[in-house]
Amino acid sequence: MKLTNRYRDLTFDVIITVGAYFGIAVLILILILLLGNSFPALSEFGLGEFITESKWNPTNESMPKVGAVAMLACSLMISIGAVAIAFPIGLFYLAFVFLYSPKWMAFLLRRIMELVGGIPSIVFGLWGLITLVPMVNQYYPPGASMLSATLVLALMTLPTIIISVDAALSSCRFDLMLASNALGISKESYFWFIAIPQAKYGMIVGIVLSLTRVIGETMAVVMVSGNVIQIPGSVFDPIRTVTANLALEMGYAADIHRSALFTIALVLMLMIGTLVLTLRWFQPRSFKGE
Amino acid sequence: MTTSPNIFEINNFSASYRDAEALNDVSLNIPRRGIMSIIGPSGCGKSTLLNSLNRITDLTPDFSHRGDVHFDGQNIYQRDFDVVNLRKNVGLIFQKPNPFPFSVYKNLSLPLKEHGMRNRKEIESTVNESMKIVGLLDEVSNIRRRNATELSGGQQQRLCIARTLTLKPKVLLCDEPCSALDPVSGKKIEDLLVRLGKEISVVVVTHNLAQAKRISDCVAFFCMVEGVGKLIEKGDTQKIFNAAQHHMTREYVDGSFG
Amino acid sequence: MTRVMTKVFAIAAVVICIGTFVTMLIGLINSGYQSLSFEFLFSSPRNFGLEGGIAPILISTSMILVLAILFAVPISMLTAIFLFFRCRCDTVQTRLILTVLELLASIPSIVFGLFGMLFFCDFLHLGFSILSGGLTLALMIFPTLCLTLFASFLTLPNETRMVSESLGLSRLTVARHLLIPHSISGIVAGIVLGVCRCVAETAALIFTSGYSIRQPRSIFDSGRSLSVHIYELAMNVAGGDANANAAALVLLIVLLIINLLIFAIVDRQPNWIRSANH
Repeated sequence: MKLTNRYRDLTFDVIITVGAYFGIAVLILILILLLGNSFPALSEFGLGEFITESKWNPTNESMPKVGAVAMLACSLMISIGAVAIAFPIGLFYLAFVFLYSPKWMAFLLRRIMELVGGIPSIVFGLWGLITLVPMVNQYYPPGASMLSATLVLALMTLPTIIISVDAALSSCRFDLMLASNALGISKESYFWFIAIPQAKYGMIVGIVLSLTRVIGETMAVVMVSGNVIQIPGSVFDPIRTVTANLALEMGYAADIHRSALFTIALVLMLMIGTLVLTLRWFQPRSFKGE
Repeated sequence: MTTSPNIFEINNFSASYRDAEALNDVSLNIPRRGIMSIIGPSGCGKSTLLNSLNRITDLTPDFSHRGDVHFDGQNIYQRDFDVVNLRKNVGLIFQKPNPFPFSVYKNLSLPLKEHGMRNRKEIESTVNESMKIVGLLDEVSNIRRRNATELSGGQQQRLCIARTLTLKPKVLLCDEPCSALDPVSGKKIEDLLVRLGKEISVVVVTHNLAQAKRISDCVAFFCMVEGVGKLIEKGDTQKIFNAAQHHMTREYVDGSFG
Repeated sequence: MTRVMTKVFAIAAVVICIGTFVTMLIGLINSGYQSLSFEFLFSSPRNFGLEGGIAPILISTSMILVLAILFAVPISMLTAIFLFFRCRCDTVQTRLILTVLELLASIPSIVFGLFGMLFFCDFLHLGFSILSGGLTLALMIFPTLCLTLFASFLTLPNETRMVSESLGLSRLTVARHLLIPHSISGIVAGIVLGVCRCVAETAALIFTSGYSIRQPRSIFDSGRSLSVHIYELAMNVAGGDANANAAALVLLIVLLIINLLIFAIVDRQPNWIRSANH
């Protein structure tokens, strides 16, 4: 009788443990496969060339170059730019939600952002390609540029930022707002000087996580950034990000070219991984889901 | 197996959470029959003791203990001890009634099936028997449909007792079983415990001294000494309430502190 | 000063946000609705998708989606249940797994696509196929799904956990009769959000499920998903804008329906579901 019970639990434990280690196995497998496939390029050029050289020309017979600096820099610049644009707008949006809107409107404004958050990146890209790029093109040709990419990404990340900052702000005590109103502290001051410092940590988490999402974004960027590998002279120059390069070249790449592509994928992944791990390292215990 | 008159023998048992000691050096025997009350002010480790008898403390990551607890002659903290069997034999009732959110019948039959009863007739008769003991059989109709969370607080608590009774436990541990209930429902639980005490061992943690006096055969008094819960005195109910040895016990039962 | 500025900027922010998204939506509807018709939905594409409809693409998309969910849900469930039972007593292991899940969740979808290409298409010899695409998407949504499910499991009251333990119930029973029924709305919400991510995904599919525009005969055939179709039309087919817009409109409508469904099922999504998925 007790044996059956124990036996059932044992089997169940084994099965769920296998399930739990699946994630670890996948991560290791991804690393192994990427590392294995980048090995030819890494051994030929060395990691140094990838992260110091800015020329990317792996198919050149005599002088192949595999510098990823331009692409990495563009990835970082447009991502940080997008978050830097989206965050203040998102914060003021939330200020409106928390301070000025009646309940039904706050509900509606939140729901709208949730819906918008579900819009696929390909749709943002399509909109950018058809509407935004021609618009920029009128003033500063060619239109498909760093600016367009940054704007599209900002728009894409806006709901993500609003939702995560909203979650962080909602965890602080807005019921004290009335009490502090009685003390002569305006609700605006309460929002800026009491609520936001309280929610600081959750907000940083939200921002960094949306930053990792934005760096990884591919399709929207491919469609609006112009796809020229260079360090841009101005925001109106076309650029190409790491992810865009992967999507554009992997289809036909062979041999060392292909291997070089896997290397930059690996570099990208390690970069994002470091960001996530750093964030987690600084996380107080209560944020780790324990 | 030993034929000791005690179902539980607790020897020099200490328990702590992380670094804070909750119980210090408790030695206590719990007889096979009758009701033992555990009284004392809040935070003196009464619940900790109860929880460690069922080994539900396993769920608390920072919990550690010293000393040993024998159940039916076996050390429950030894390595290959069958915890599931212990829990089948030692029922635990919490302060807040907490039926599972499904039908009354399933509440009672789930643990039974869990512990290996397969025969439908047998399950049904066991369920009915437990329902009868706690007096719910006549009060609650349609037990297969009725959701247990729809019952009143007192009925829920009696259902919880019935749920452990289906497993035919040798000990019933109750952690302030009446304190979340109204006096009438509390009285019903009390009467039930008295009836059960004639057959099995019942341990009741209570803050209600009058209750302890009414129902228990013997009483153990716990108190904080220098920040750590200790067993101050144990003995027959009459003795503890009328002629306690220790001055702290006397003060507590007189109502002058705690 | 703070008061006035805050108010002005807050109103401006709302106007900008809502305004942009509304303009965007109107633009899409404007340029897409002419091509959108009954025929568009139920006929095969001709001439690289410049003419004809998207019927086989819708079929491929649903096949990929069903496979992804079929693979992702059980394994996520196991991981989440494991985390639930271990998070109290084994913090080191739990933390390790949670960290790994967060790392996996942060991997760009294009990298998952490359991994799928290497592992499913090449190593397992599945080739460019709907199965490869489905498996890749399953891996992609797995970490987020796990975290969502785990968060919804954590809402099980601690007392219930204690009682079931004190009755000596096995973990299987606790999971089957208490944990899963309790968090069913969270589970459904998590799965639906996973579905949304799958439907929206492009980058992970271009190198795994391929571009074939034909009607797939089995899961081992290549098949183009809706989002890949939009990408192809917009980028690689001259004059494909109108049909790209129409397809995007279909995609949005599908997502809107799924979203309405989720609002109907989980009347109020708690914060954790939303924050876990963004």
